[in-house]
Amino acid sequence: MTTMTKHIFTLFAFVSMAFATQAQCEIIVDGCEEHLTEYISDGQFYRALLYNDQVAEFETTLFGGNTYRIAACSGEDDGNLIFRLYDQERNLLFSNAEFSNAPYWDFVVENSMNCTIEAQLDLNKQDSGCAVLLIGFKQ
Amino acid sequence: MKRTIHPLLASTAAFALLFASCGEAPKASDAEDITEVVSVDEANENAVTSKLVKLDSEIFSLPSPVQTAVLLSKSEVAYNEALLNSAEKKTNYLSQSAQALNLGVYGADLAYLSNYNNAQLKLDYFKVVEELATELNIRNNIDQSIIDRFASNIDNRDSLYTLNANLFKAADQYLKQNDEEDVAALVLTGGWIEALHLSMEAATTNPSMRNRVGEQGTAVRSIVNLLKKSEEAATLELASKMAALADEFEGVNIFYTYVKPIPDASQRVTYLNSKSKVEISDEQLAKIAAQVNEIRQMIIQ
Repeated sequence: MTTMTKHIFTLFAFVSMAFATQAQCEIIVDGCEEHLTEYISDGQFYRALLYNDQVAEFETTLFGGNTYRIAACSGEDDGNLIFRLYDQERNLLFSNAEFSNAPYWDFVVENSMNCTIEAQLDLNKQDSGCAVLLIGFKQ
Repeated sequence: MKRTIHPLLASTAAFALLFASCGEAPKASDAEDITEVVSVDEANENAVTSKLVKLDSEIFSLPSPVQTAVLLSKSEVAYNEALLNSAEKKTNYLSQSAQALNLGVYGADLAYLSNYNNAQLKLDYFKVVEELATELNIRNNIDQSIIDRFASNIDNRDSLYTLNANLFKAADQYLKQNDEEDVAALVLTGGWIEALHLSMEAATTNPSMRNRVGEQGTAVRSIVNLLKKSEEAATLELASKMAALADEFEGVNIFYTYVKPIPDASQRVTYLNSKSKVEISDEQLAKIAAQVNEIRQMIIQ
């Protein structure tokens, strides 16, 4: 088998894997939603297809007087996704890596804060896949 | 043990994963947003290099109109039907962008109506939301149980909040998984501007609502970044108006003081105790209200 043929096969394998991963996104969402029961969804669906040490991030505002739940899921099992919460001064407020990659966590917010949420695969468990984050709140 | 992968193959795989992203090809603007950054690994304190995937067109967050409705309810703001966009105007919205924007508008109105006793009006607005969802080809992808439960919970405010939020999350998920990020952005934008519009009157007298309005700066900047990537003239005009609104928010002072959070592992909860204070003058509030009204009129005309 020539080197070029090997590369074509490898590329085909990666593309197939990518589309299979995409199909997994929908399954992951269904499982992840189970972590948000009793919370009102923020009406949005956050997802990114991550490879290796890529980090997905987005900014959000957590409003004072609310309790939020952030659920982070990837793959078939809980605990494959590391998520971190930073404030506007880049102080680390939370990392689920400190709590065995907990798939969800609650945040009681005293005053409103502009935050950045980061998500990254735990490379000890998974090196590519669909990362899904869901946010819910309650009064 | 990590596998060693040839850089070319790794790049190809990353490209393939992005390409497969819900059937959407990576856009040039996305590529510009993929930045290599150096961060500190908190666990081992070694400097590591990570790929930061800052796909603004895909991952963004806006405050939910339901959250605004909840605060309006807690603040005991009096009902004012004149604030709503008339359900009868639904037939005016023929283009996809007008339908998407006003789906968000009517969704926010429906969240507002959840706070008050007017069953028929709630049903009317729900019907409009359902019709616009149908015209945008979203309706068939929303769980029928959400639709069915709406009528049977018409007098249950908390259930209506949940159903409204679930309906819009299902719409958001469907649009993002079907290469319609731009439509999803317009739905969220319409909902956000209507929620802000519904808050403005109460903000003149109610301190909580006033603060909530002042805290919308991050959201409006996210909207500008999203909309300005569009190739549609109408959306770019909307982006320009939103940029002017963002400028008004630049003058709002938010004083923030970090306080160390307190985690409670047994309850899976962290108490975020940082302090913040919003300073927004009557003049700033009036300017923001004027800009919001102008943008809303452009959307609902």
